[in-house]
Amino acid sequence: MPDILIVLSNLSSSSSILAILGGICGGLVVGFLPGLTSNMAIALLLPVTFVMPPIPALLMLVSVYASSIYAGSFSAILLHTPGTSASAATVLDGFVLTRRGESNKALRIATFSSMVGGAVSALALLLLAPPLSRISLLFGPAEYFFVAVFGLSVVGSLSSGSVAKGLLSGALGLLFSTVGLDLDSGYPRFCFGFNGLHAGLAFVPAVIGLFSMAQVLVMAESSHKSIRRVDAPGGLKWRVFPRLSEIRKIKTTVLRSSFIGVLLGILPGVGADISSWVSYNEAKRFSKKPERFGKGAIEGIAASETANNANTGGAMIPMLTLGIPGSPSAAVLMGALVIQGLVPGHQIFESHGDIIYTVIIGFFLANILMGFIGMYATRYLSHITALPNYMLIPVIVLFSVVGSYSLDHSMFSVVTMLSFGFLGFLMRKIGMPPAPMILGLILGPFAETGFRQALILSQGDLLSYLFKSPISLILIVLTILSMATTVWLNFRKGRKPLLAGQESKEE
Amino acid sequence: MKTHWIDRGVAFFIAGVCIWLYVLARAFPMGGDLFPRFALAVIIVLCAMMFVQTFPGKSKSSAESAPVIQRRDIARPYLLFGLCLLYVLLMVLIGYLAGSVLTALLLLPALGAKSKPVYLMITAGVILFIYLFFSRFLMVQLPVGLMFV
Amino acid sequence: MKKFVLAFVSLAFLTVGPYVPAAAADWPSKPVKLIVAYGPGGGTDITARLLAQGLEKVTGKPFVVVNITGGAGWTGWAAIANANPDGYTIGYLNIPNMYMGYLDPRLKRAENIESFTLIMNHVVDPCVWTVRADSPYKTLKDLIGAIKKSPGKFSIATHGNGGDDHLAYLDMKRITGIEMNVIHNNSTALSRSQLLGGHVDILGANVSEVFQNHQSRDMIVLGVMDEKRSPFLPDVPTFKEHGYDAQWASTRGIGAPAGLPDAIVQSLTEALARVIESPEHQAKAKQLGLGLKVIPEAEYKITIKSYEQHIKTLMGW
Repeated sequence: MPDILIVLSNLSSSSSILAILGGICGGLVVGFLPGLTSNMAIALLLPVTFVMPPIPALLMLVSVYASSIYAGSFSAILLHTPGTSASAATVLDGFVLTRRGESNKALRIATFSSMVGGAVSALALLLLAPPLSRISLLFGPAEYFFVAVFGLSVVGSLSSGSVAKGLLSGALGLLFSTVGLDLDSGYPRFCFGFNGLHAGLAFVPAVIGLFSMAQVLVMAESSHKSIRRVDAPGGLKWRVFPRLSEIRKIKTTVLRSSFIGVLLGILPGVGADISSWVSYNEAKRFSKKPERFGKGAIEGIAASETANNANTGGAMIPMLTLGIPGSPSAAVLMGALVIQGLVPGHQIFESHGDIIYTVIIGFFLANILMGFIGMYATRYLSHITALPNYMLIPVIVLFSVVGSYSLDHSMFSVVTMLSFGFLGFLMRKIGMPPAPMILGLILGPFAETGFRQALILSQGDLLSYLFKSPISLILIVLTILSMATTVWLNFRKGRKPLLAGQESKEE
Repeated sequence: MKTHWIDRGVAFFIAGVCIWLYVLARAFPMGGDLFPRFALAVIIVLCAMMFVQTFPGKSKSSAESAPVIQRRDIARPYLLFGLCLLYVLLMVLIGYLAGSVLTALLLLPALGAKSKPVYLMITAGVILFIYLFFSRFLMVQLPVGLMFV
Repeated sequence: MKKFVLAFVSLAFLTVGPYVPAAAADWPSKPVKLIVAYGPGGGTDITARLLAQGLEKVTGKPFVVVNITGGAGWTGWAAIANANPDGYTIGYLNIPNMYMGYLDPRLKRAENIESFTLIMNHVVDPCVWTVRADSPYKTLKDLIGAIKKSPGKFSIATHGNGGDDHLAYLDMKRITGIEMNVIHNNSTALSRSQLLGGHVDILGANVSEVFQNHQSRDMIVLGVMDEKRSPFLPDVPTFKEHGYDAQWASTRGIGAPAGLPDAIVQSLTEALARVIESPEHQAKAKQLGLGLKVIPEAEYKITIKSYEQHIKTLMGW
C-alpha cells in the first residue's frame, strides 16, 4: 500500500479534480440520453486520454463510467425511458412515483442507492480485489448456465397480471435472443435471408423500443395530458437526501443489492443490466409486501439502482487483477490502462500502486460527488414531466431514434427499436408485461452458451458436470426458492384479487 | 367478453407462427437447434395456457385486463407509429436534419399541438441541438441522405 | 404556416449543404469515417482509435471511428463495401475472420473480397496457445503428445466459429490429428477466465491478448504460430520450431469500397505510412503488444486470395 499522502496529493491536484468533475458531467449527459451507452462514452474519450497523464486520464474514464450508469435512472424515472439499459428495472417503480408527482422521492432514492452501490463497489475494489477475482474464476459454463436460469426465474414474478402472459413474454424474449449467427456453427438462425439479422436483435434498441417507444405510443392516446398526473402531496419542495424513514426502509435492500451487484459484476459478460434485474427480484422476494413492487415501491428503485452501480466497481476487479474485464466498459478501461503503460495483473497494485490507489479512491469520490451534481441537475430536469404529451412525444421519439442509430450507425437498429416499440405497445394493450421479454433477451444467450459448452465439456456425462460444483448447487437452491416464492405470491394474490394488477393497467 | 377473443386470437397467432418456426429450427445444425426448439416448445405450451385461461370463471387475471374505456384517441398511436416509419424512410432519403424537421412538422399537428412556440422549439431547438450534439460532440455521423450522395 | 414549413425545410437543406464531389487531389477535405466491425474496447477498436488519432494529425481532418458491430463482423464490412468510393469511408478488414462471411455458402452473401479496395495491412497479431501457470505441460510437444494420447479429453477455448483461433485449431488438427472439445466464446475475457478457472485446458488467443499474462506468469504461452518468435514473447518458441507448420494470425488491414480512385489510394497510403512509421505510433503499438507489419496493397491481396482455398478445406465448404 503506497503512502496515503501521495494518493491524496495526487487527488487534490487541479487536473484530477477537473477530470473527475468533467467525467461526471459528461457521464450524466450520456447516461440520461437513451441509446448512448457507458462503454460508448468511454471509448469516445479513449483517444483523448492518449495524450493525458495516466491519473487524470483514468480518473476521467472511471467517473464517466459511474455517472453514466447512475444517470440512466433519470430518464427511466421521469420519462419511462431507460437512459442506459441497466436502468430498465428502475422504470417499473420510478415512473409510477413520477405519475403521482413524487419524482423527487424516486430520484433521491435512486441517487442515494447509486451512491452507496458505487461506493461499496469502490471499497470492494480497494480492499477485496484479489480474493473476489479468484471467486470469478470459479464460474465456468455450468455456473453461467445456472446464473442465467436463476435470473430467468424472476420472470414469473415480474408479471403483474396473468402469469401465463408474463411467462410468454419471457419465452418470446428467449426466442428473440436466438436470432442471428450461431456462435458455435456460424449458422444464420431465423434470419430469413436478411443479412442485417446476422447480428441478432440488438439488445439496447430492444430496451429503448419496449420501454420508451411503447410508452410514447401509449402517451399519444392522450396527447394533451402530461406525465405528472397530480402534484406531490408535500408540494414541490426539493429534498436532496432521502428521509430517515426512507433510508430505514431501503437499508437492507441497498446492502443486499450492493452485494449482488459486486458479485455479478466480477463475472465477465454479466453486466449491470442483469445485476439490476436480479437484485430487483431479490428485493421483491424478501419484501414483506411484494405486491407493492411495480406500484411505486422505493425498495424496487433502490434495488435496481444500487446493483447497477455496484456492478461498475465489481467489473473492474478482475480487470485490474487478472486482465479480464468484467464488462464491456471495463474492457475499454483496460485498453486505457494498457496504453498508459499500466499492465493489468496481480502485480499492478505494487508496480503502479500510487496510480491505481489514486484512481480507486477517485472512483469512490466520483460516486459520491455524482449524486450531488445529479440531484442539482434533476431538480430542473424533473419539470419536464409537467409538459404536455404533445411536446414530450416528439422529443422522446427524436432522441430514441438518434440514440438507436448512433449505437452502430445503422438504420437497422432504428427499425429494430421501432418494431420493438410497436410490439411493446401491442403487448401493453393485451396486458403482457415487457420486463420479462427484456430478461429473456439478455439471459437467453448466457443460458444457451452455458448449456451447450457444458454439454461439450461434460463429455457425455452432463448431469454430473452440471451439479458438481457447490456454486451450481447454491444457484439451484436459489432458483427453486425464487420460483417457489413466485408461486406462493400468486397464490396469495389469488385470494386478494382486489390488490393485484389494478394500477398497472391504468396507463 | 371482447378481451377474451383478443387473447384467444393472440394465443393462436403466436402458436401458429411458432409451430412454423419450429419446423424451420429443425434444420439448424446440431447443438444450435436445441435452444430455439426449447424456447418454441415453451411458447407453444404457454399459448395453450393463455388460451385455456380465457375461459371465464377459471381466472380473474383476464378479466382485470379489460381496458378501461376512457375518452382517448385510440387511432393516434398507430398514426404516430406510421409517422415514425416515414421518419426512417425520410432520413435515408433526405438525411437527418431535413428528415427530422419534416417529420416533426407532420408529427406535431398529428398530436394536436397548436402553439407556434412549440413548433419552433421542437424543430429549431431540439433537432438542431441533437444534430450538433451528436455530430460534433459525439462524432456520430448522422445520415446525409441518398439524395445528396 | 406554409411559409414557416418552407423556411425550415430550406434551412435544413442549407445546413446539410449541397453535395460537391470531392476532387481526389484535395482529399481529405472533410471528416473520414473509419469503420470498425467490432465493438468499442476490442483489439481492433483500440488499434483504430490509435490510428485515427495519428491520421488526424497527419491530414488535418478528423478520422472518426465508427463501430458497426454484429453479424460476426460482416455488418461493418458490408457497410465499408457498400459505401461511396470517395475516400470518406474506409475501415478495418480483419483477416481471416472475414473469410467465413463470404466463403460460407450458407450465408449467401453478395459481398466478397473483390468488393473492397485493399489499401494495406496494418497489424499482424499471431495466434498462440496458452495454458495455466500450474499446467503439467511445459512445452508444446508435451501438450500435443498428451492430447494425442487421450483424444476428446482436452478442451480449447476460441473466439467463434471460423475465427482465427478456431482456424488455427482446425489446422493443427489437420497437421497432427489431435482431437479436442472446442468451446466458443464471444469475448476473450470469458475465455481467459475459463482458462484461469480450470474450466478449459487451452486458450487459443493472440499475442496482444496474453503477452502481459505471460510476463506476469499468470498464464504460460506455449507456442506462437508465426514464422519467427514474437518480440513480445521472446522466450516462447514458434509452432514451427516444434515441427508443426501452422502459421495463423489475426490481421487488421485498411480497406475501402471497390473502385476508390487511384489518386486517393495514393494519398491514403502515404498518410497511413507516415502515421504507422511515426515513433509515437510505434511506441503505443508496442505497449499494446501489437505487431506492426505493413503489407502493401498488391501483396496484401495475393495473401488474402491465396488462403481462400485453404480455409474452404479446413471448414469443409
